[in-house]
Amino acid sequence: MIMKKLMILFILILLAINIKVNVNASLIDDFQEITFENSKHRHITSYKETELKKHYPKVTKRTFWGWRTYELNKSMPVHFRKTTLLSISNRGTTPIYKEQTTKMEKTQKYAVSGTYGLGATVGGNVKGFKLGLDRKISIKADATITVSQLETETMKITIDPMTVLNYYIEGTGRITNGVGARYIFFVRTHLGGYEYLNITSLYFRMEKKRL
Amino acid sequence: MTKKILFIISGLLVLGAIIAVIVTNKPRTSDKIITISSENNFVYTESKRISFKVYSNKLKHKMHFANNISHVYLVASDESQRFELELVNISYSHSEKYLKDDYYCYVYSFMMPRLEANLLVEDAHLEITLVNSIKYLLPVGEFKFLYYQEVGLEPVLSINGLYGYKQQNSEYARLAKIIIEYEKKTDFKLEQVSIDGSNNLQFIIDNNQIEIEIPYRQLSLSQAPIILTFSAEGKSVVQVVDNFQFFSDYQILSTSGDLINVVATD
Repeated sequence: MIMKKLMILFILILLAINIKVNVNASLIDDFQEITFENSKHRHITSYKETELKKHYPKVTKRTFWGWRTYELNKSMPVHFRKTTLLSISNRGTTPIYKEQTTKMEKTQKYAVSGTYGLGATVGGNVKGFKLGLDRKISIKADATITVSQLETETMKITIDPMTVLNYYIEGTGRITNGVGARYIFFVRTHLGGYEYLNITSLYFRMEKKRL
Repeated sequence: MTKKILFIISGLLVLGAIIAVIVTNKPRTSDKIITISSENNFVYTESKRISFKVYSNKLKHKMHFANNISHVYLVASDESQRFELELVNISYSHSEKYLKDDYYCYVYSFMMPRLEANLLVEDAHLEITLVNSIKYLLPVGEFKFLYYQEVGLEPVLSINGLYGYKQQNSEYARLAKIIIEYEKKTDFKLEQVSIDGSNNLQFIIDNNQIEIEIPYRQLSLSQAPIILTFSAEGKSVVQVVDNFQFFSDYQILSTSGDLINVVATD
């Protein structure tokens, strides 16, 4: 009798795990103007749910525990441009000659995003996928999800009067996306699309413009 | 009922024992440190830091704690040059995969030494001694310390844009081209361009833009100063653009294999 009650409680817990919660914008959204080298490739968010559903049978064969994933695009090269890192204006009448420090804090080396069933529940933490999908897909992609702390560069530079100095960042990376399903004791708890950006290089660019 | 509880407890104990056996039988991987052979040219400024990327297959290797370090020297492989570096800090950067293992990248920053003359250390090593006297000798490539009067001043050109690229379609961690966008302050003729104070580089000037070709060497190159020598108003003028970080790589271990130095530490 007690065992029966325990089993019912356990099943209720499994169902509760599937409750969706809202999350903030995914990391990939933080990188502006991500463009695939080959324009035929697409972001997971550009797939309609009906399109993704066509690929679900590849991940809906039940398994005892863990994830089944199917890649739609594997390690496709992309370029991206991020927002300005630093901007200094000289509105005075004499040049500024200074040793300028550029700090780039917490730049994501790998960014993740999810759609439909996975976007809400799995991408719940900005640092990466939860519930083990990071481990599952990172093994395939030969990468791990991580975050850098701080990078600092100093540069001695002249900023003429009525000039603004901007530091930009742009980069290259590889995007992998696909569909995934998660199982606990043969029960499917999650189903949806995923995508992650694996950054290979960040390029820095300095520009000065007249105000 | 008691029997059932006993059955569950004994089952859990057996499971725990199996996990313990698996964990203890896990093969122990040896500690490894990786450094990248790089071309390092630095022009002196008061707050200039010089930094090295050091990878280890252990996240918290004892070397990565500044308190554990007694002193650090930059030495030539033939011991002809040796001088102490003042450690500023050690910070974690990111992790990468290399030959199926995880490696953790730390950035070691030192004050750039104020020497009396330019110095070249061709086959440079970092010699790191811990407080318990354990010594690590890590190959780091080539070092050039350069001293100029006025770094960052713009007597001839106003530098309006600065950026660089790797070789096209290559992920190899070496700069291949630098672009300077400028506005001239005085009439000039550009005589020489260099990033190391001695070797003159090929360049093209077109439409207020200087395009500098960086020749291939088997050394990583992601940051550099630019030394421009002009003839302007009848005299020779040197304009030095301070060290600029053109790019940072986060997959260098898998894209630039021949630059890697692996040092076993046990």
